Amino acid sequence: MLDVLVRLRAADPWSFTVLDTLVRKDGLDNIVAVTRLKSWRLDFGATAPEAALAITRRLLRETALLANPNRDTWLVRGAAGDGPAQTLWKPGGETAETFVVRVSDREDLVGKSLVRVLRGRLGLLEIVDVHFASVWLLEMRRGGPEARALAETVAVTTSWRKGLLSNPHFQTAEVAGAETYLLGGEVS
Amino acid sequence: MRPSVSIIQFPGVNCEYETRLALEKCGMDAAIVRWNEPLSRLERSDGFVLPGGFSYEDRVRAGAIAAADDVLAVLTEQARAGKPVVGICNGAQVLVEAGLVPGTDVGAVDLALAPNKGMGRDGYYANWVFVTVASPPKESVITYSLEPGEIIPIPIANSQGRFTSSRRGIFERLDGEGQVVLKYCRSDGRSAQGFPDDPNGSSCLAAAIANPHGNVVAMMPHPERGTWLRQVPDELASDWSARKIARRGSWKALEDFGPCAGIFHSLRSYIEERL
Repeated sequence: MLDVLVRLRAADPWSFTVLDTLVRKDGLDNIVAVTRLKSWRLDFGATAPEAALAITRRLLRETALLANPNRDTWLVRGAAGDGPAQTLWKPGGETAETFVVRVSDREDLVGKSLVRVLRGRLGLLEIVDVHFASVWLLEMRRGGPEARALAETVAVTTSWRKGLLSNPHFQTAEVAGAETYLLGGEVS
Repeated sequence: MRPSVSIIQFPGVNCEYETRLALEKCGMDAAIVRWNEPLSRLERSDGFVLPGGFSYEDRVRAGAIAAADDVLAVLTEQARAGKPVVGICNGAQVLVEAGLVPGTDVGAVDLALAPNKGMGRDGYYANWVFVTVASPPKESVITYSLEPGEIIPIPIANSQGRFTSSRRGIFERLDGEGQVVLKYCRSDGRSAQGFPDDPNGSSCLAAAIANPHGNVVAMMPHPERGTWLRQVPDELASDWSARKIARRGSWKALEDFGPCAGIFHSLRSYIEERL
């Protein structure tokens, strides 16, 4: 399984909107920055890791299906790194700790559409499945267990102005430390 | 005096002007109120409509960002006082994300409007469909003047219109309580069975769901696009197409009420009789 994380090169209005909602509307002033990434998890089944990485690089180089080089920068998690993950994302000066919230639809129609294209039109039969997710990086002014609890609260919408990033009735959200999540990738 | 209705304009909605025309056509005064205007402007309104579109570009998820705006706190208070609040399409998504619908526990987010997933089809779908009035008489603000079982041809246009929930049995409960007020059906009124009669795979075939008092309704179809006879397509499997074709040639006659006008007439009657 290879995970391609994609970020806009330009400033991302979606991230600003989420930051504005969390800080100004919900009063969560421990959050100092928000970054949005897209995640494409490519399941290569029994294909050798080197071949899987080569196919992924070719997809990134020759198509705009996963990322558009005019607009996006990307990182392949789980591949031998030839660049630092920080090229994709760097914490700001005020940031003590950053959490990743990975949100995916239980019925992943986006991933299913892409796998149909990759296998049916491009003939990449090595790819057996694709999972799409939105990945939100939440930078916290103060770290520790309270910061993690805040990330977990923001991750799941349970009631009005409590939670934002996923609706638990059709989505799932996983929370992890950003450093751990992003380590070991390669950057374009 | 004509009832006055405020249409809440979030950035990114795109049906506010046609909604205003439809409300006026059905005997109400309607004003478009921007989300960032002084909220005190809303207090004199008799009712509220959240129109369709893409509030905040559907960032994060359809309706999620608009649902956190201060204006929703005002609408919650006004709804508590019994005033009607109707969300159409994106407006419905906002009401669900704000926990006003189903509103059994006000503020709790008990539902979602998830991406469409029909039998063999998903994604955006825009077309005329049929819904049937599923609530008892006078139970909800949008069916107040309509008869149970009445069949209404109505346009839909959405990619996230599938009412769903992870709470087991919630739709059976809502249906039993009369809160599922419109259901997708076939042109003859029989239950929809798969796409295209059921356009999005909604639980319980729900096209519109109300709160327990019936004054707050989230509906995915667009009644403002079927308020005039001239809006009806010629080829609909319904008497409405024949009526339209018979009036062709007379611009004035085509300005008659269309199949969805009853939804706005219901809103007006509800305000006049209940408030």
